[in-house]
Amino acid sequence: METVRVTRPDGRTDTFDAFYAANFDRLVLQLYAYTADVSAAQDAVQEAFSRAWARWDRVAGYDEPAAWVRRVAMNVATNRWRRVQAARAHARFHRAESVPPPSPDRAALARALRALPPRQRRAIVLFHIADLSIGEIAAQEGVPDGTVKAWLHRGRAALATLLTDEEDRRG
Amino acid sequence: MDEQRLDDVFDRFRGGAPLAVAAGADAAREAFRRRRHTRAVVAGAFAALAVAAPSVAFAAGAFDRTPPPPGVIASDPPARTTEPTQRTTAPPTTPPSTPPRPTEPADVPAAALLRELDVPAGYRYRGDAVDGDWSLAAIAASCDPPRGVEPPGVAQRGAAFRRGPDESLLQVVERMPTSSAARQWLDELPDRLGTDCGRVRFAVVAEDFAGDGSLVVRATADGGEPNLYVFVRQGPLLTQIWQKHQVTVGVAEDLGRAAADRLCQGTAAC
Repeated sequence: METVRVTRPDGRTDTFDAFYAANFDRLVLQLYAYTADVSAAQDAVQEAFSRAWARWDRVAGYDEPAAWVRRVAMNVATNRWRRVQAARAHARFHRAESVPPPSPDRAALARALRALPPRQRRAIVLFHIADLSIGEIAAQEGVPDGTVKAWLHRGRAALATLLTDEEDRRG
Repeated sequence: MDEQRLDDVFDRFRGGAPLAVAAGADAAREAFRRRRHTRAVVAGAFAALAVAAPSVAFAAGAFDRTPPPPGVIASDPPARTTEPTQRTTAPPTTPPSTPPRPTEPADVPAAALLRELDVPAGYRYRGDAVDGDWSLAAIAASCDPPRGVEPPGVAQRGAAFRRGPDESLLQVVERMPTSSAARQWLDELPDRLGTDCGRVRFAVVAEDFAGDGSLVVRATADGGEPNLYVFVRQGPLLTQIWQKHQVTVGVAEDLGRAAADRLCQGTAAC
């Protein structure tokens, strides 16, 4: 891990630090649900925070700055080009402290989510993991509420089947 | 697995321990500083060479897409040639807090198209001529009544790859007037095609596998083999790819993913 220059605290830094601390864990969890890869989730979220800092004066004024960071992170995670760039930019800052790998339950759900079509997966993650409402998801995706409901219905049905199969395999 | 158990799985997923140790807000700022430094070096090199080639800057990863704030519909940046209606002679009293947003090129740079290393083995680049009736629009035009599915691009560039005497892989990239126009065109494509136009049947066999939007359309004419048409969008850039005799959707998706990455080198939307 490289040495990181510590920024002298000021109002802008303080609000960003508090925002980062309050949202990092849950955003990584949401991106892990989306990618099934802890490192990719971590890099995408860190990249999104880095971009948020670049325009923090503006982002801090949004109603939901965390929603902005999540959208950037999902864009980064979705695109191979951006994903590689993020990994290069942030891998050097990974902390040496290790944390246990995701529990079997978490890993099984993440793998099952990964098998869903992207829009169904995104809807499931936003609704069940990020706690967005159907209306909020519809607005973000630019589709009617009914489309989101259909994605959720189909996605849950597919997940139930995939997780049952996984349970059968695990005995 | 019933509904209640599935909800329990989500509850347990949300309720567990953190997955990673945060690198920290200072690390996020440091990454931004390093990127800004890299951009400054790249910009300096451009100034020294007096070369304004946006595609090279894209290749250097100098542009980042950022979404609009939640609840705000994305709009396109103003065109490079747009002049302000009023000019101010007074210098600004404070510098802008963020670097100026990169402008969208007016054309389609060659770097935004596929290269030999992106396409199946054995294909060789044979120039930018992609004339002929290979496109989905050409097929759809033969319907009765004809289906109009020609994207109304403002700039275009093609790439032709050949393998042996008979195998072709063709790509065309269109710059649409705006990102929203490109998105709307791609979203509406399945409806414009329909599923059956008499002698040709259409089916969307894959979607959302690459870029900001993507589709694979299978067109099957009476008595002929199916043709797969790959469409991928990144911002205002829209590409169509066709490989002769290729009927495997997975291969078509791989081409689309490679094309999506290349498109990023031709638009500030990535």
